[in-house]
Amino acid sequence: MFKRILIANRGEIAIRVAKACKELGIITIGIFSTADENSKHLRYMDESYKVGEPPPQASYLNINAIMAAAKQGGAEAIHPGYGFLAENPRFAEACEKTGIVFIGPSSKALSLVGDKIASRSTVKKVGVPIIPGMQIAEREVTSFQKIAKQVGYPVIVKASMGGGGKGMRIVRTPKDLETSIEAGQREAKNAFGDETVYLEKYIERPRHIEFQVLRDQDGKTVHLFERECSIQRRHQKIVEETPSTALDPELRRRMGAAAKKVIEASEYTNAGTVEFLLDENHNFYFLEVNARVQVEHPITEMVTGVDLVRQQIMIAAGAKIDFEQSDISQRGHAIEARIYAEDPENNFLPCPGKIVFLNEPAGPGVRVDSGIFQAWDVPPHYDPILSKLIVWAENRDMAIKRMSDALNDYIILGIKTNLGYLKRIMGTAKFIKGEYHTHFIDENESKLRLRDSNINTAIAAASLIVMESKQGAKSPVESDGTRQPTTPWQEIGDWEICRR
Amino acid sequence: MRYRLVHLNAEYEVDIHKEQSEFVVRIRDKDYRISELVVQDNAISFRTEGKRHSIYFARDGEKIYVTLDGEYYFIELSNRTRYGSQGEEQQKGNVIASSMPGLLVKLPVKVGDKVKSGDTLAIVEAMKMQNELRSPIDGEVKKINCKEGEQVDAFQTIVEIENATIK
Repeated sequence: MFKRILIANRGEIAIRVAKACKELGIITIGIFSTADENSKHLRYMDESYKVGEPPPQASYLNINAIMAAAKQGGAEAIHPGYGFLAENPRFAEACEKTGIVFIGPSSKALSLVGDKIASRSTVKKVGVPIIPGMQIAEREVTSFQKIAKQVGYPVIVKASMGGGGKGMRIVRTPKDLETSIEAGQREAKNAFGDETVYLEKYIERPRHIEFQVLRDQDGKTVHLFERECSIQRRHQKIVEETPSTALDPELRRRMGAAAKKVIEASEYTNAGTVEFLLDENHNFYFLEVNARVQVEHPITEMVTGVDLVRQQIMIAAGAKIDFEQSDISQRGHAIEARIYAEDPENNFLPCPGKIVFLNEPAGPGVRVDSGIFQAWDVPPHYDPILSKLIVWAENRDMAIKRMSDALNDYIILGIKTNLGYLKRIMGTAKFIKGEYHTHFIDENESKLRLRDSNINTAIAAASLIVMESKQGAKSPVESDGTRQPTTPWQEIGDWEICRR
Repeated sequence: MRYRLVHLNAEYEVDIHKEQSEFVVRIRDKDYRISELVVQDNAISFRTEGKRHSIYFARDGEKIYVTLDGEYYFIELSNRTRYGSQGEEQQKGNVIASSMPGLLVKLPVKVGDKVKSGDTLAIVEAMKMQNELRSPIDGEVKKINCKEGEQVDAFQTIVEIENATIK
């Protein structure tokens, strides 16, 4: 087993990985940018190295600086977390060259699954269904037109190196195809440095279902069932659950087998996720492989009892998977809600800033993977994810109730977050029934809007708070996070100064 | 006591007075009777209209952050010169302001440039998200208040556009 691991990430995932390392008796080496000198993940590192200025390119994407830190810290392996360099073949290659183990698949497998077109043809060869569309990258508008006609409109133009919805364009009529290709190419070039786009049939109202797979270096492959991730805003997941209400045992068995085939055909090792789209007739299509630990991995851990990050480290160290497919079952139901520093009332625009008050929920079946603390100034340079709230319960109804209550108990003040919005999702009829797809947010827009009914009570509360502080009593927690001496219980009505 | 509070661009005039052991809070001509008011650390609780509310709050100058039944309210003590006027200018359509704090990554126009409605005037980036600010009108760039690479605040005016003159 490794003695020292460098964790090339920040925030909640760096903490999650550090916890798995500590349980295995491994020394943790952290990295930070100058914007993160006071960030929470550093508390979980035995030693930490500064890797650069705040912009990601200068720090968390700076391969040279990170490799130098790994060398200096004597790291035997690097865990990349998710995002940043997690799926970058050049980073995996840099590790391979210096003899440091990259905790993830090989650079070769990473390149293969990272190329959407190449992985489509690999997957098709082993008989896993793919969305009808292009098999090879083409440049001529005429070939786009030809294939669009073959598969039928609507179609979608996607970036070959893409992800997160960048470079994607839905095209409903032939006359919009050319401009959409150009726009997609421009966006792809800006986002990924590669303007290659391809075309597929557009699946209306699909569900996004992914399977978690583990494969060790001997080629033993097991899957840990599905995660349903159809609740998305701006093509990014915000609520995930497992099991999915859309699968019956037979479909689950077929999709699980297909996911294993995809991983085996890609000569992929370690933890990976195979994403599928499920159409309204319960046909599934391969979408892509996510070659990393996923943001939503905890819900799989909750229902299967398998620690995925621990498995990643063990597999990278050469250990064999010591359980069989038949040992894995789904017990109960788990839901994850991603807490973002963003404003749902203003197009989900990010809202960095200072957290002036924080209270995180706890209780039976409640897990919080958090990267924040009270008085921390959330920097504007990185992904707006603050933490993840995960609940487990015996069944789905109880899990929804538990999530709703836990969201009520999750208090983050000082910056705008999506906490209230997430609670509204839990209260939506379609979500409660489990009848939803990837356009849930758009189709339920009016139901998800902040309701007016309580605003006057909130205004009354705010005015009482102002009145209270006008009387000379300060808010116990100041905006700079320092605490004033605790005020005792105070009945405002008893105050001398309040009498008129 | 009277206060003027703003929530989501709507203004609320509030009048509070005490009647025996209760407070009466009048909001837009409706009275709310507040009883059992308790303030404890960062929590405030009271009963109104038959329901007891437990609220977490934090105050940062003019800004008041309030939670209520799992919802979050960002309320400000009204300061007409700052909020009111900027909101109006934005609606007039010739002042382009950032809607979030972030880095001004692109500013593809200069003073004197002719722009069309929908043209990109600036791109602000924060937390991996790029927000494109487009011209709401046809016109000419009259003034630029920032430079590329600069950090901008929410509501900070970046570009001012003069309406195209009607022939």
